[in-house]
Amino acid sequence: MSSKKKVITLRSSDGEIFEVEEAVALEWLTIKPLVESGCTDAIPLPQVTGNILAKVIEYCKKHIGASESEDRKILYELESWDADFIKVDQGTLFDLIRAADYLTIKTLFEFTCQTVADTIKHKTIEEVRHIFRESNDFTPEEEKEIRGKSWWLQGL
Amino acid sequence: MGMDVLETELQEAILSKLPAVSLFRCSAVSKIWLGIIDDSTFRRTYQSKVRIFSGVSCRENWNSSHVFYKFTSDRCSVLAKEIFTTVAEEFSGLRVRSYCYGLFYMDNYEFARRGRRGSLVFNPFMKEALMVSYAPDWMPYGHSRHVLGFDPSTGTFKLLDLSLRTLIRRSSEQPFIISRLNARGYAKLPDISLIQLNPPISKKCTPRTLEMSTCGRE
Repeated sequence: MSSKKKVITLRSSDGEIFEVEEAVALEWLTIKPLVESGCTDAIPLPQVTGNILAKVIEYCKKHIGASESEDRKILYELESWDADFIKVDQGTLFDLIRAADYLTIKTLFEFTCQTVADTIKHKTIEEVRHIFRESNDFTPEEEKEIRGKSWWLQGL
Repeated sequence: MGMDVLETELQEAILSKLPAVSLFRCSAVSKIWLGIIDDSTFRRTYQSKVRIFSGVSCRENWNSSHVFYKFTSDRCSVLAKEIFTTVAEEFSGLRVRSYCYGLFYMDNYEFARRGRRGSLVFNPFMKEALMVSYAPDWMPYGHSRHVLGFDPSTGTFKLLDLSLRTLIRRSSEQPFIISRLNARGYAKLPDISLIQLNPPISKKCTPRTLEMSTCGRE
């Protein structure tokens, strides 16, 4: 293929136009067939807003090639870059998960899901409810029964 | 905005990233989460993802010395052979009673029967032993069965007394005495999936006394 620096045009749901390198777009399995077929029009992405798409592109650009690197220094830098990248509010984080799922970007999807899981991991039930503003829809009896399922849960 | 703004499949993807203890705890967060976690298909995919890949084991020799092994899915190596170089004589005749997240709870029945301190918690990775003192109503008598457990809600190790005597004495509401082990270095451990099997650090064992309190009075 002659297209080493071929550029793919993407259109977000709010009409913003983004240009990404073909190599980046090929990582997105949802639009991969379109890219491979040599589509030159702007690819519409009706489920992703402009600011989220910008973040997704930012992540993929940074990660392309770098993830496979064996160099520890590069991997370490990438890790700290990731940590900064994911310092977003919960709404944005969920939007990123949804966008990664929609575009089928495996690395970003795993990373964002893991980030949410990490915030839940060491929390008590009340803390998790508070973070995710989940309301407690159990009756006291039901809750007692569920918590009573395991001996270590009783200490909560 | 809660997790319910996400589609169920995405919530599943997030929850499946949790370690088993957290996942189990999360089933009490809301009905939606309980529905996801209790789903048999979810459980099956979760179990296939989370595999036991390593652990520690102990073998007792004929002369009641112990050999601790570290094993992973493809190999096995010796972690610690001589445990108590400083207190070996006093602690001869120790039996491994239970094991939890890399820690072994051992006791000497003869000592316990005579009311002496005869139990300890041993960490083969650090080659450290911690002596266990008994709480006032801790009865190391008869067919005592002490089980070491980890309480992820507080991040502490606890001892469960399953002896016949305490079972009879206790009301049905609190059938077991659960004692908490408080000691530096043993108070907190990450969830199962995070435990790293580091190479053993050569360090002389330092027996320390554990503070114990019964859970029911907290």
